[in-house]
Amino acid sequence: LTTPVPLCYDELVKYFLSVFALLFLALLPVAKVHASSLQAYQDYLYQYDIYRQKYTEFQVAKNSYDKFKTLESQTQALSATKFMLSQRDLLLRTYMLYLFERTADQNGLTPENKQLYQSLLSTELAFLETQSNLVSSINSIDDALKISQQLESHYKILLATIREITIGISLGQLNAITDNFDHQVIVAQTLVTQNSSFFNSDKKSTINSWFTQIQNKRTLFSQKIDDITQLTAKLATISDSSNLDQKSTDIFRQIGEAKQYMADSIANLGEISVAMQYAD
Amino acid sequence: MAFRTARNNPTQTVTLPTPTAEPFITASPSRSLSPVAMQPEFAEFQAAIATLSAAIAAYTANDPTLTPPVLILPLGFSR
Repeated sequence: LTTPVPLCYDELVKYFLSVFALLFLALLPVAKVHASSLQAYQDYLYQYDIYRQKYTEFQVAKNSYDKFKTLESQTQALSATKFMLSQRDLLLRTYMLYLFERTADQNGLTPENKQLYQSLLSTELAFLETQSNLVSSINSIDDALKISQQLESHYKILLATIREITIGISLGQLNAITDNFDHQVIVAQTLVTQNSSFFNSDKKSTINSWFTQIQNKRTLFSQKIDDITQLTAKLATISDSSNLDQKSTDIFRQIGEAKQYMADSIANLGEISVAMQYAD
Repeated sequence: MAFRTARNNPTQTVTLPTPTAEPFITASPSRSLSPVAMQPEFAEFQAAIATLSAAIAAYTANDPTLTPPVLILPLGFSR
């Protein structure tokens, strides 16, 4: 027989605090998700700072080796190169993990797109993990050059993936606003129909013209989003990095135009609200 | 004969006349509210539009927090 061990006051306090903390986290899943995304972003910024520092140290050591070609400078250059390459991989992995969290947080993404982006990120993370393991086995400057070249030749694919996902997240944010907007248009139509007896013919005509404006803008918005989706799908086929940057900039400009259509539509919905609010 | 000094003749601050601030009230027509405005559904709808307006104003197409790191990939050793 085991006799129950009485809990001391401190242990009881710890127990209740931990239960309370678990309940709190369980009741706030949304806040927890956003907090993980924020934490991932802070990790990324932290690793970026360390990378800058390691890259500066690498440059100093490399320049010294290029200048003097001594055994000592070679050893120092090799060591600095290994640290920098290792940190470069870690920085990219931290950034990809941040994108992973942002994708998970984004409610405006379709489940298919979310799955696609997370699959692409997992592939890239696996590549970077392999790279990181290779870096630890570098024994010479030639080894370092070979391993660095592997990332250099893969980087275009990596960058195209990053562009596709960042555009996708941006569109997801806009999509979440659009879903809410579409719902509010239906609410407005219901309110107008239910209260049509309060509106004179002029008022009805004004409200209908705003609904027509909204419909037109919404059509233009959808067309713009379709164009953006088609352009984004072609990003993976671009091999030239400057061309990729240019296309990405163009896509973001078009997202800005789509945003303007949505902003106009929301303003028009506001006009309907004002028209309904006043009797004259 | 006594000299007049600055101490003996302190400068006097002349206060310039300033127009009295009077609120200029313009006549604004009062608009009567429709019966729809009294409904709770309408109040919810108005609040939803305010939320939407704020969301679209805050939205940035090219989110700067998503910008990838800038890397110089080639090691650049002189061989």
